[in-house]
Amino acid sequence: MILARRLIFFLFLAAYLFLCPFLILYALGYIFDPVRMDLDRTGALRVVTVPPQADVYLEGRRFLRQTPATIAGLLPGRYTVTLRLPGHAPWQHAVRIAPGEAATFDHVLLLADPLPKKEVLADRVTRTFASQDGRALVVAVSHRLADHFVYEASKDQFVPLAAPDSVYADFAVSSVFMSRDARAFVVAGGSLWNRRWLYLDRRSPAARTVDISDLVSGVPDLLLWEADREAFVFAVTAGRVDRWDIAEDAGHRDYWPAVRGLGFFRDKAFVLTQGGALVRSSLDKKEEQVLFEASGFSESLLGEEPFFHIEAFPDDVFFFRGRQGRLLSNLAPHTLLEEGCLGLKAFLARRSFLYWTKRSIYCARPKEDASVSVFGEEWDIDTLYAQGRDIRQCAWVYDDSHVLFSDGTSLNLLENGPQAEHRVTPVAEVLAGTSFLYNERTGEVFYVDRQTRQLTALSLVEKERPPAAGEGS
Amino acid sequence: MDFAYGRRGLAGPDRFLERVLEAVPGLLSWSLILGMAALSAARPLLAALFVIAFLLYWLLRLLYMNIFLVISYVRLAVEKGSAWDQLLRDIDRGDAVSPQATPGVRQRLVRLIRDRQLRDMKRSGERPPSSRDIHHLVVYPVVREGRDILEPGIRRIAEGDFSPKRVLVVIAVEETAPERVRRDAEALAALYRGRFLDLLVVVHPQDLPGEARVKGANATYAAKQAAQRLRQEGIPFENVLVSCFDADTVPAEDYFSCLTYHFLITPDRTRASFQPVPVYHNNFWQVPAFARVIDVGTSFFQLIEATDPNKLVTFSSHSMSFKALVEVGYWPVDMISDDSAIFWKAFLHYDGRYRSVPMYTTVSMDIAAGAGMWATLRSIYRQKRRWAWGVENFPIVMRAFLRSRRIPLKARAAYGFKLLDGFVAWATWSFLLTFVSWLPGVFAGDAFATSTVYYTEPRIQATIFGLASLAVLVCMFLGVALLPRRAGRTSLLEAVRHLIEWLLIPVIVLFLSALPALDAQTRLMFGRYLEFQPTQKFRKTP
Repeated sequence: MILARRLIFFLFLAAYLFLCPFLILYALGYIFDPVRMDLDRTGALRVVTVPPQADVYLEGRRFLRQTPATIAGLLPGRYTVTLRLPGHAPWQHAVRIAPGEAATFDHVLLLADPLPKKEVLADRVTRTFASQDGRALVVAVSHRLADHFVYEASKDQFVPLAAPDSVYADFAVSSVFMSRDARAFVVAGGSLWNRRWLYLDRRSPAARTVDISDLVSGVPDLLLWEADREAFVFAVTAGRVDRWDIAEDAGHRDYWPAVRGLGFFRDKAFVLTQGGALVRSSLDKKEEQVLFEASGFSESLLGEEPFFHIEAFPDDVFFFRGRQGRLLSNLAPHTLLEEGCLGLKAFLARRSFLYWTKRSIYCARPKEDASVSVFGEEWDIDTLYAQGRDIRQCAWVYDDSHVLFSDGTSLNLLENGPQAEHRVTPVAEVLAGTSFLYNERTGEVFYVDRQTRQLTALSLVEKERPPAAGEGS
Repeated sequence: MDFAYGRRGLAGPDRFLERVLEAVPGLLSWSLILGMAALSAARPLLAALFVIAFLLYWLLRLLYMNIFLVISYVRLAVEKGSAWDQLLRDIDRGDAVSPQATPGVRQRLVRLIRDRQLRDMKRSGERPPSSRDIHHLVVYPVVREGRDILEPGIRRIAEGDFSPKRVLVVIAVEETAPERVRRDAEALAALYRGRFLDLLVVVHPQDLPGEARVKGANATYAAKQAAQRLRQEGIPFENVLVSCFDADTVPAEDYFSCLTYHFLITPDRTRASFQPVPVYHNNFWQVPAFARVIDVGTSFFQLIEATDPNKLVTFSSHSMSFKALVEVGYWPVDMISDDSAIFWKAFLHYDGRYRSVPMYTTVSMDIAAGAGMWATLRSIYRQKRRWAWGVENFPIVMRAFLRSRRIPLKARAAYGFKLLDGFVAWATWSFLLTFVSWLPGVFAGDAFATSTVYYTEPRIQATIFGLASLAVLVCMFLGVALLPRRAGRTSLLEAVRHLIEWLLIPVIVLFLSALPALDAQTRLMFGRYLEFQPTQKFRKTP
């Protein structure tokens, strides 16, 4: 027994000493070439698609595994990977496999062919209004307030902006401003000699509408809601900020007089003074902290812009969007755009920031190895697209793997892919001058169809739709 | 070797060395767990490669142990029902194994084993004493256990196949035991005394100098009283085997004849301990599933250990030569782990010329239990921690090894390594498998996430776990084979239920085996020594 035990022990020891390096080499991507009697270091390819279970072809050869799939043991070089799924357009990409590395395509979007679309509103749309962050959309089929519709995420449908029996049903709307997630609206309109302002509160079941014209002085350039409670509206008029307390029906003129920028994040306000100092303030102005002092540097950065909308994000990332299109950041390089910035979208999970002009779309990400501080971090900036003619709006799709953007009358899907390939696929024709709404939760985009002028929903990303409130009960 | 086995009363360099060595197992275990976690955060790719190397090592070791588990189980099954009394008569006559009337596979295997044993005995040149001269001393240390716990074991000895007239039973009661315990012991003595050589009830006075409140102190006191009794009877100690049982130990019917046989055929028999296979069948079906599975695992471990007699250390209820016990100074009176400590004490006393002989017969004990599930969990945790407290032997043994010049270096290295490796593996494997092996993926930055290792390591891990499940399957089926029989056959439902219970193993081993082991090593590391806590025995009365 002892001898047998010893023999078995040494057998297992030998097995371990043989298998262990073999296994580690395999893990590192090495394979043994019996012809050359040498080790080759291979790479791997990882593909994840939505929807899954697509067939994977590499150089025309089909693999047994369907997506999500990892194909290891690939010799270094360039390959063409093709994904096919019945009912969907094929997807093809060139990929470079490097030794010991895995090329990952973990957000491949397979578009249905044809893309399923449906009519949302029967009436023809005349105008659209989008929120600053692109998460809300109001569509109008006439100038009447009663003919304005907003997308209600909880019901997954467009509903009338005002209650059907509202006394303001016939109010002639000229502008619509909305808070985040479209829970509160300010609507401007009325006749030329009797301009009125209405406040619509959709948080209450009755969708309360009140006339707040008495609070308004002048014509605000910008309306901002505080981040959390939306109890106050801040109206920016020629560098002056008034605060409207809707609940108390009170207006505080010059709440922040002579400012050059304003933004909100959580329960704080960020104010850019005329001198160029950035101040973080509590909403009641009782606590203030200067984040950076005014200086020649900040003054030169700010340029001639009269006002900046400040957008603050976690980890002390700030953007300053000027009315004239200048885009600045607190991170270097500080000037992202000298002019022409039309919008900014964040994907916070991966700290990806999308911004665009009429011609180009960019993506900025903080560099991984830089220390996090208010100043000192650096951006990695990638030009995703530079052939635009009239880009108006962009949205992240499927995390930050794709960008949906309108360019003139074309609604396009841009692949923010690895290995620097950014392919563009047209998905729809939109009415010029209108906005779209992309719902990440359902994978649908709502837009005004160019031909029919109807509000149309197009399913881009096949997702399991959660039941809307009231469904399935 | 003249060596005071214990950690009390040390001073100067010895005390310092003892403390340093006490910290080694805990330091090693924590370094392994925390070191791997830190490496996963700092260098996930390197950590992933270490994980692969560890998983392969773990798998091969598991399969290696499985082989010996199966061999040992087969041997247990084969030896079951051996006619020990016939074998003893054959030895007394000087015969070889009697030929069997109808030799089958089992009989052939048994004959093979016996022939080899007898050959070893003859080769030693020692003539064994007559089996009729062999006596047994059985010590039952008792703290709180009553008649319901004690009686089954005593009755089994009285009704077993070895003549009880050559058995001296001692019930060793602590002075601090409740009155009902003493009454129960006296009642049992009155009932069974006449069937044995004698049945003594010895009350161990508390707070004797040099003693801690440990079972070994109680057993030693009782054994000394028994020695006087044996001298009165004129029974030489070299013909006596002492068995130190737990209060709930119920030996197999053939235990003492099997023990006698092994004593007779073992060369240098008075320098040997005899280790049976512990099973936990007394209250098997009365306890929760997790309690059953963990103690079946203990039986398996001892089965595996039995296949390596060169490094077998005594555990729990076992037997040894009474002559050796007296010569080494009885059990330690200040250590909790008296079962393993007595082996080391004897090993060191005889300069390495001492060993444990595996016996393929069983002793059955209770699974630690309480009145409810949480009480049972607590009881099991404390018991496993007490078992893991056997690590207290490591610094003492290593101090002795460092000093010894007579024990061969190879033996010292082999035993020392096995001791340390065993305890560290016990405390760390579950944590490494359950938590640390996944950490490299959790801490993966871009550099690691775009490497082939990031994708191949989970596949390798899954394959290894899949292969390891084969080992678990073997354990599951052997576990069913080892199930105690109720009246009649084990029902299919019970067998299936027990199979499913094995799926709890990953969680059970982590919380009721690895964690108590790490707890014990950490206490030793910080010098927070455990006090003895008797395991709660709980049986549902029918």
